[in-house]
Order: sequence, then C-alpha cells, then structure tokens
Amino acid sequence: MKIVRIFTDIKIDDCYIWSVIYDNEYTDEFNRLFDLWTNVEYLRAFFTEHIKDLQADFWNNLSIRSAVLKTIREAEDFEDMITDIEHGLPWKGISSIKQIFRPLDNREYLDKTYQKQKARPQNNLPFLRLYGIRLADDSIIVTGGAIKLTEKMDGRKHLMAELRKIERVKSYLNENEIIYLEDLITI
Amino acid sequence: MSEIRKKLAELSNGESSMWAGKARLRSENRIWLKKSQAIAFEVLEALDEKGLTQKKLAAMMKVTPQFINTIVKGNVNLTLETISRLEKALGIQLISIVTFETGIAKRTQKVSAKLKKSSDRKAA
Repeated sequence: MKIVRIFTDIKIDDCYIWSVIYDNEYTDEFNRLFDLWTNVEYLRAFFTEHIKDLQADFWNNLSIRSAVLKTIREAEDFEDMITDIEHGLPWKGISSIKQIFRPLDNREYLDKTYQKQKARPQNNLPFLRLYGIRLADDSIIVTGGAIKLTEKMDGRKHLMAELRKIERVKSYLNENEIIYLEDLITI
Repeated sequence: MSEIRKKLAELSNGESSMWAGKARLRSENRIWLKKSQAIAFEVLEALDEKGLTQKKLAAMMKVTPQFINTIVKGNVNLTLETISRLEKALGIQLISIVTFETGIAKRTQKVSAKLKKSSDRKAA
C-alpha cells in the first residue's frame, strides 16, 4: 500500500487530501474512481447488475441509460468542484476540500480525528461517494469510493468492501505511526 | 508543516496521483467526450441486441478487440470513418448530420407548425 498526494501544484503544507494505491492496483483510488465513473462500459455493467436498486421506489424505475448519464454528469461536477476548491475558487461557500467531507455515520455530527468520512457531489440525490479517514491535522486520506444506490451500506457487497478498505488504511497508518503523531499537533 | 503532513510526504516518496492531469483533459475535451460516451452506450446496446461480442465486432470491422474496447469506454475521439464503419457493422445509426437540405426541411417544419397553431387558436 502507498500514499500519494492528489494535487501536485500546491505546497505540501497546503495539501489536505491524499489518496491510496492498494497493492495490485494500476493507480491510486482517487484516479481509479474517476476513471470508472466516466467509463461507459463499466457503468452500464454496474447498473445492469444493480437494476433492482434502480427499479426501487426511491429511484422511480430509473433506466440504465439515465443512470449512466447521471453518473457521468455527477463525476464531471464533482471533479470541477474539487479542482476549483483546491485552487482557491470558493464553491457555494466551501473554501477548503476538507469541508466537503463529513462523518460517514449520519448519527455523528462532529468531525473527529481518525473518523470515517464521506464526501459527495452537490447535485440533487447524488449516486457518487468518496470515502476516507480524517487525520488530526484535518488531512483526509481517500480510501475509496462507490456508486451508492441504497440508503444503507450493509447488504451491498461493493459498499461493504469500502468499509474494509478504510480499516486496511487505518492499520497502515497505525503501522507507520501516523496515528501517534496527533499527540504532537499543537491546536 | 504539520508533523502528519511531513510523514505523509515521506510515505508518498514524492509520488502523486495521475488524477489532476486527467481531470483537466476531461474538462477540456468535454464537448466531444459527451458524444463519444453516447456512441459507446449505443454500441454496447447494439452488441447486446444482436448477440455480438466486442471480439466479433472487431473481426467484422477488421480492427483489434482492444480498439473496440476503447470505443465502448466512451473516451475516444472517434473519426467519421470509424463511426460510419460502426454504423455499417451494427446496422444502426449513431449520428445524424444536419445537412443543407435537412436544415431547410427543419426550418420549414417549424414555420408550418407555428402557422397551424395560430390558425387553430383563431378557429377556437
């Protein structure tokens, strides 16, 4: 496993968002996800596999074609938002990338160190999610992401896999003593 | 610099994500990517309907399966030749071009529709 920075044209000191390259993957998670979310073949296969979720009341029997188009448009907006924010262009009052992440568990309201986090585009009822871990200095490590069609994560293999990734990255951070560094942070 | 960020920088060993450059390219090329994505979807639908594999389509078009695979991902700037050959191989229309003749026909249709609406309102 490796950690990589996502933005290279800003100083490390201003670098709040990082990504993970898992063993046997061709690229880091952040890059891999946006490759997938703009890949028509992948999206069509994904929504064909999860067609029952699209047919549920919540999505009002959305067609596979519409779901593919919605995902691509969301990915575009998500990329634009992240890029603009990171380069100092405020987006609907959001001035820092760490502000788009919030606790993964909807029952938690406050951001905490080492907490599981999620981010999503600002579109109405978005499919897309990024998942990560918030560190003591408010850095976010993006551990993965997914297309979420259901209210809860349990019951969907691809979403449960994201939770396992978060735990793997936590172990990695622990092994590399990052978790202990929070004691050195002067707030 | 925070100790955590120092440590993350060390762990990253100077390596960075490929995402930013690709995101910029996607943004700059959005205008034709939309069309490439739409074509990709139609090709995949047609393959399913006709019970064809990408490999079979590649053989019909005398191209490599890898080339067909890049097409169905929807991120290739396709030439008119490739689009035409896809249409022929799959027996579908992927794009329609507004020609001089069809442009006039469309404008004539719009004017006729407006006139009809106006005379319907008068009759009512």
